[in-house]
Amino acid sequence: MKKATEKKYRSRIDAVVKAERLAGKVTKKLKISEPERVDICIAVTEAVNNAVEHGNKMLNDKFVTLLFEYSDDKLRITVEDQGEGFDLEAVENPLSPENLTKPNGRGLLIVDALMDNVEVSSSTTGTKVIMIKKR
Amino acid sequence: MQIQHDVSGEVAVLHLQGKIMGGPDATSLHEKLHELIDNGTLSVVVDLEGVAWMNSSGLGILIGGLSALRKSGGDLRLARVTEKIEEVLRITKLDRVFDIYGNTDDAVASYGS
Repeated sequence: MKKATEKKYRSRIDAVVKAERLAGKVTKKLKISEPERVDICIAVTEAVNNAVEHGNKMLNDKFVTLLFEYSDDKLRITVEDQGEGFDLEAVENPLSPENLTKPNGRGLLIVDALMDNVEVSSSTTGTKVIMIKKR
Repeated sequence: MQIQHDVSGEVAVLHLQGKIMGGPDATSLHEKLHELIDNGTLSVVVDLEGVAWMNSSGLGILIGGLSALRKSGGDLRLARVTEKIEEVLRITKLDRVFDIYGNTDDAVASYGS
């Protein structure tokens, strides 16, 4: 995989907007089709939003790293925070009737649906989300 | 994101433009919806023709507005939903929660029926 770009953002809510702009630029440069660019931009905003809000809990001294790598047949995006991690098994199903009208909890569901492969790993030193889109 | 606010009888119509992805834009939509609720507007139509896409933050604000309005006896209905937003609504099963209309006139008229 070749590295396209890597950025570190402070844990502020404007990181989502900056990350979306970067995703737009990278995917344009790599000549990814428009519908797939939209999927990638949405997925990046979801992962970065989770990292800033839930991972780093908006703490100013914690950073979110966004890495874009590519090969001829895929784009790999890694979003990593410096939070305390979370229990993947404890994540509630946003599609359950009791959760359907809750205002949050849908980010990973959307990422999973829009990307071709998604891996989430979490420990007490942070959470890493790897998202792959085939080209 | 830009928000343009029209009134049709007792129905408030919000025309949104841009992308809704969280951050300051999402805050302004949240504030606009709650301003309407605080002022006693119970019937709201959100026109999404100008919104290319939204993520879960945008959905969360719409569902928050919907819940607050339904609790007060009102509703929030969607009009002119774009293809990508339709897909996101389907993924999250929120297409079963919101009433969705092909145009704003039908959405406004639905409050009279």
